[in-house]
Amino acid sequence: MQFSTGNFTDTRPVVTSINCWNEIGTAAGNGGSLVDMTKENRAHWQNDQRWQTAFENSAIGIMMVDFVGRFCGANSAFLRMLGYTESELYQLTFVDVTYEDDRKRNLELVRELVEGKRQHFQIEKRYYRKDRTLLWVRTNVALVPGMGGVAPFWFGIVEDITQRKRVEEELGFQIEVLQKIPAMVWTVTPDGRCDFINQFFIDATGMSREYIQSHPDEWNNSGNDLPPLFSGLPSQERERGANLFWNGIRTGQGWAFEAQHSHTSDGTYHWYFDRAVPLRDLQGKVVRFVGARTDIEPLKRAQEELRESETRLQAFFENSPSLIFLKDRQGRYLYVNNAFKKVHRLTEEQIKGKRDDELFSAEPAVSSQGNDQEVLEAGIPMEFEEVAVQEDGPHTSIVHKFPLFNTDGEIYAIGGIATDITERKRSENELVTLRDAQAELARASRLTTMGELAASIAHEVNQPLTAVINNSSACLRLLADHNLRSEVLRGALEEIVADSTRASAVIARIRAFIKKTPAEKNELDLNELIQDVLALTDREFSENRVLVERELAKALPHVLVDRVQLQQVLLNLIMNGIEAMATLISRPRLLRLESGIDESGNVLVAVCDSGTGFGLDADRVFTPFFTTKEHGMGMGLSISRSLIEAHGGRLWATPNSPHGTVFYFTLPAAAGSPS
Amino acid sequence: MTDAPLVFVVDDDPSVRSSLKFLISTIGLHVESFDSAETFLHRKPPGTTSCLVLDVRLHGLSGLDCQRELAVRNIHIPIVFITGHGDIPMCVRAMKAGAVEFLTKPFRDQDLLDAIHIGLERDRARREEEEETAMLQQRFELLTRREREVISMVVSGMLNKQIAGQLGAAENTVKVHRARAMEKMHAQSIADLVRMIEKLKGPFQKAA
Repeated sequence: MQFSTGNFTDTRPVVTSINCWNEIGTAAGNGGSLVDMTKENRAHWQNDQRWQTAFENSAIGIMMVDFVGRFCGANSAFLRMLGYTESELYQLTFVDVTYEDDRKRNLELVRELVEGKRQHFQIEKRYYRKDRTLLWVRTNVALVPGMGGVAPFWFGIVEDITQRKRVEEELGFQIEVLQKIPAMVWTVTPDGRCDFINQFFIDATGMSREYIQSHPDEWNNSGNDLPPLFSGLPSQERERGANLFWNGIRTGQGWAFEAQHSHTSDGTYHWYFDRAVPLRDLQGKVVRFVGARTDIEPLKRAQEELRESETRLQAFFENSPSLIFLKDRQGRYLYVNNAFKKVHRLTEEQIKGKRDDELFSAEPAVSSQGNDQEVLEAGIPMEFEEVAVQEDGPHTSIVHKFPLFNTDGEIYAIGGIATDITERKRSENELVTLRDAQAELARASRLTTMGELAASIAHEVNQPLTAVINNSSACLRLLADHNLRSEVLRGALEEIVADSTRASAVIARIRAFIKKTPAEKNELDLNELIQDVLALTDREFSENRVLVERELAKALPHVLVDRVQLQQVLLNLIMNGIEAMATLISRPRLLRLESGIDESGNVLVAVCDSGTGFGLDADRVFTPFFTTKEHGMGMGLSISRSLIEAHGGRLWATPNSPHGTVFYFTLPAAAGSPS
Repeated sequence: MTDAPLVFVVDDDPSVRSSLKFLISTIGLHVESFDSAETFLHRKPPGTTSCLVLDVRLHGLSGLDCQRELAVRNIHIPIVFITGHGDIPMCVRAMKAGAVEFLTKPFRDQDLLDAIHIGLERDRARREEEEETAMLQQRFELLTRREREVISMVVSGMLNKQIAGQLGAAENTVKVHRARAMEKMHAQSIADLVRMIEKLKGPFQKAA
């Protein structure tokens, strides 16, 4: 590219062509002295081609601006900086390409130059490139006076300082960072004087910069005194602090320690971590110690909480009656609690790092390891029943095993909680046995009650059977004598049918009693049930000379009950009543059955006898195996009570007035039954 | 027909009662039935050969109570017990008290009828015996005190001479008393007289 002098033929006054001059108002007076010197000027340049070449190839931008501020010359380096072509540039003034914020100062310097106050000036400023990005430059400008008809012009040398500016900015930023970093930062000279502290330090301690940075002569009287840097330490820590400081300085090692320092914001002490390292020159000589103090109060507090929580958890683990353990993926024990050690009679050392097969007998070990494997594969908590052999024999445990995941989501261990259920199982078994025994007793008792009734029931069956046989035999006899008349036969047969029916009805009734059927609840009228049972026990009453009274409420609500069980209860109460009166001589044997509704709307049944009574301790009769009978098992009332309670009712006894006992039971009225 | 044998049935179960009546009537016996011991005891004791079929378990007085009551009243009617469920002590008690049979319901018809026959036969025999004794008693009442003394010694095997010596009377006088007593008693021989006195021994001794 040719270095061009541009268009110098434009003779328009600078004053009118560029507004910015008006702003300053300095060029007005000079405007009239301007003359066209283009020819001489160009000749001057052409005379010295060497200068031209030098300018053209210079790495430094060179430009010329005419007296109205317009560019009138530029080398290629300058054009490159701004990104304009030569002709484009010559359309612009230097003000056009100067960054707005830098214009004012630039123009002031120009004015000083025009006014002759200075021969040249230097300015660091920003240019707009053609693409409107900014470019930091340092410009040296000199006024070239008009000579030999050549108008004076400004000559400028422009240096790109973007890189330097960037470094400066970076440095400024870093200093800013250092001041604002949320740690107390300082430097200390090898003689122990603090020569830098950041703003954060001052803010955090509330101490003045002067105090902290004061010379050791002012505070180090003994040669080992506490520096102002550490003056926030509590009294009991001051000596340690001073020693650490001076030791660090003298050995050139610096220091690192945790200590509490007073905290200005609330006057309390905070935990800080204080650390200083030596800074050495090229020869390795310590030139500074640089240090930072970090507030670790939240960390300390978190640590404390963590420790507390860990202690707490530990206490839970160690006091747990369950066996708690942790194994790695290979099944090696990492942790076991006290219960585990105690149960297996092993010490921590014996257990840690060992696998089940190294500690326990083969079968349980294989089973346990198999379960571990399942958990590893499934990756979810699982529950197992495991058997372990202990001193007193095999123990069964419910073992809850669960995987532990690391932050990458991989299983790194298996935790386990084993609860010994041997005892529970045993008592469950005992309970089942006991329950079976009770059921058996209940049945036995029912059969005993049946036994008491067996005599009369046998009689009941035998009567119709006897009649049937008698009638049949009589007919056979008459038939053998050819003396059987048809009306006699018909009468006999009719009686046979009636008696057989009667016998089968009795048998059906017996079967209903002794059948071991599960409870089958039906809505029924208790009065009907009472009548049924009374019919069944009719013979007992007559044989024992017991007078029966009934006082049954009309329109009794229905109850939802198992007919057989309720018959059982009623039968039991009635038979008890009869027996209670068996020895009576001097007064009537009176058994009264009442039905009604109690105040809660339940159906109430009372069985009253005039017997000897139980005395005050009426409730004792419900205890299993309590009996006043020579051959009784003492189960009847106990079972009756559980049957009634199973139906949601109550069974109790009170003394009768003037003699005997009243047994009451209630049953809830069936929902929606007529009342 | 007061001489025809009569069977009494006491059972509180109407079916059993009527079936027994039917069964027993098939062998031509007359049957009278009662629903309780009490009603039976109210009846006048029969003058004819009879037998009682008695249920053990009854409303009110039981069969065994009834047996006892009859004995107290000196009514010697043979009893065939029937029961729904007999136990051994009950059976022993009944048999000791003179029951003909103890049958458990239901029973074979023949067993009952056999027992009734035995009972009736026993009653008939008892009645004949009672009648003969009553007749001998009447005759014995006609004897004088001396005649009674003489024949009691004759029966005991003493000779006329010994009797005369014992009584301090003449031997001929003893012979007259003896002949007159034999005549009053309708005795054909000494042996006949001994049998008659033996039969009377019970009441005779009782009187003594």
